[in-house]
Amino acid sequence: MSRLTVDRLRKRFGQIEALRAATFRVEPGEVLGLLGPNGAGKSTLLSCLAGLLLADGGDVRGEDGQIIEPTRRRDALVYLPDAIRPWPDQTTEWVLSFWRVMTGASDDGWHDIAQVLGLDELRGRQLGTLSKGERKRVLLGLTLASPPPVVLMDEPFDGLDLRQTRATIAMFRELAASGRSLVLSIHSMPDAARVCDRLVLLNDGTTIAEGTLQELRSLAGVDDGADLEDVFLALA
Amino acid sequence: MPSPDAGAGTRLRWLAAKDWRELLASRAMLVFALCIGPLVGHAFTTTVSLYAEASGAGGGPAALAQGLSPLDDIVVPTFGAYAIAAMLLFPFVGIRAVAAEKENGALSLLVQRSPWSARRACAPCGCLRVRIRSSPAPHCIE
Repeated sequence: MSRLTVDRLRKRFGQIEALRAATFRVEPGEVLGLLGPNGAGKSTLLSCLAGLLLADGGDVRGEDGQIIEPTRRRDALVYLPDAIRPWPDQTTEWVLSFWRVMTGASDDGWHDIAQVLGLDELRGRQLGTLSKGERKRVLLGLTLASPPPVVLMDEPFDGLDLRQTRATIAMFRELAASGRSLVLSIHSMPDAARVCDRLVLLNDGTTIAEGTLQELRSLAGVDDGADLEDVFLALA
Repeated sequence: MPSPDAGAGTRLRWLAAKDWRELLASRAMLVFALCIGPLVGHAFTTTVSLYAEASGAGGGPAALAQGLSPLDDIVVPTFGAYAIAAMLLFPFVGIRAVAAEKENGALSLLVQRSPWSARRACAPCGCLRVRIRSSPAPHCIE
């Protein structure tokens, strides 16, 4: 059974139908990439999954096949939205301590995550004084240290430099190998191809394809050597 | 570093500490202090002046001075002005703080990790509203 099964999720904002039939599954221990053009509904989908937005229809089911109501999703998943700037007046150290208490994060993973993301050097600084990349590292740390087995992230590499992106990708792979499931909404196709085990293509609020890169190549009818950009353009 | 297996009480304390730190750091709180400081200061000087007049320092009747008490006639009116200002202005400071958390995205993280349901998390706000509505008017305090 899949760790998370999303079945025909729908969301409408007035006249705009942001999600029409988003359907996919998340397996244990995988990195799933959510790809789609601007306005495809990726962020709306993640917000609906996290319970921040109430979906108009469709189900989200857990490993036991039972529907997970939005109020109970905090036990199953955690979501890091894109472009947030929380608690600008608080120091990184205080925010990390606060978040650790709020989530009940364990010591084991915490130190490894803090080391990979280089959070120790940012401890004394206020979040509002951090650069975009530094703030992203802190927020990634908060999210990945949270206990839920499924982690949703919107543009996790936005603001990170090449070295940090590579280190973060390696950490994502390690977390997936330890059994956690990561769902990433990514614009950068090379990053998506490097980090994701499987991909979900979303267009106009609908899932148009789901599978590994090889499966998507077959579906798109492109050569075996075609990269993700070619596959994306052929399908979207 | 705090213990990760904190109970609901510890989480509530950290949440309250977070709100307090955010309030103290907010610009709205600074404006609130700037507004309320001169107001209370003015109330204090006015009440001292009135007290001095009523106590007979200017040659008034001595019998009136015997019934005066500094606690009732200076401290209470001074902090009466503070109570009015706090009651009228402080809710806006709180609203600004919540609006700032919504705007900068902190609320989207907090609601996911809150140990309480949304209804329970909102209960203190409801209690605060009831408390404000049921607070005695400053003239009743006197």
